[in-house]
Amino acid sequence: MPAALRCTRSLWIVPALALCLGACSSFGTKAEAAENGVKPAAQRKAAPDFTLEDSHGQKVKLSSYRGKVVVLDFWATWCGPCKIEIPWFMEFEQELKPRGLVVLGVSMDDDGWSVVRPYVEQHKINYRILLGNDQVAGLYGGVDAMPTTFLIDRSGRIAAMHQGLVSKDEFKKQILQLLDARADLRAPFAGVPAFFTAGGAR
Amino acid sequence: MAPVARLHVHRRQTVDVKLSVKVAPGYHVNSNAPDDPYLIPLRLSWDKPVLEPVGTRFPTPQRVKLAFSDKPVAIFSGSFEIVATLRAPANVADMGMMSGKLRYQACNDRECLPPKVVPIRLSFDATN
Repeated sequence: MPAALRCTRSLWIVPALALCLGACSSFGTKAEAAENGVKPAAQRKAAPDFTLEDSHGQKVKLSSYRGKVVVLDFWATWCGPCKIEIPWFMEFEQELKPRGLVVLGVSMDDDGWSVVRPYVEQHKINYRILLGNDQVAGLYGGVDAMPTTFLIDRSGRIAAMHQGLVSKDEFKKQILQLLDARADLRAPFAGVPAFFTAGGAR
Repeated sequence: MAPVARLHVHRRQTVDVKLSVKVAPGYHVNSNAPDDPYLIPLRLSWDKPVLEPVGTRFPTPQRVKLAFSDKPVAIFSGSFEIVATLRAPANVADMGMMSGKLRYQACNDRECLPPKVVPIRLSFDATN
């Protein structure tokens, strides 16, 4: 066999951290989140509304959960750290649902239900899984890394955002704080006209 | 990606193309053969190859026990090389170009980034 020629090419695999930092700044920096935990109510912004399909083919509209505390978790089947959080969310869903908690997992898998549905069944996920898309991710700052989790208060406002894995205790503390808080039902979800939600005043 | 040097090939012979990959500190990519079927493998592919792909050699992966996995996961981190072997057909033109893609999915211990593709372009001169 003839001697093989050799040629070298260099490739850099550099994670898009610049984009991530841009997205984080919209919701406060990690340092702020670590110090303050949940944002004060006056500083919270309305969670962008969306409608996505769940694993049973049902349409799910975020704003229909008004009055509940929502854990909105962007994840993917290929995301290892997401796998750590899933049992926590299952536990929260079971334990705290009676107090008004809803967990929504938004899968960002490009391959769609063909990979997500078997994963959900295999891991016996007890909370609602939706199939996300770039448009919805864009509403939430692009979701450049997973897991990215938003805690939405009973008034439909983003109270906390976590990019990357955080501790179960931190999640639980923040969720309990939001469950204990009183809802301001006059605050609309982003994208929902004020007249549509104002009728639900206390 | 570093400036691409022109490749010199002999017709009917193979050429090894070394792709040097550097993963940002703190991150890893899945190997070409991750044990978990849900993990996205490192994959090199060629678009309409003018030079025939004969094979791709990946380094031996590191097997690391990560917090989310019950068993060690095969990953690459730091700097490593992928070697693609290409064969120049007898009728290949004197000059040409081919392109390919390296698809990867990177994570650190806290988060994962969506799968990405690095484009690869090779220009070559062919002689007998």
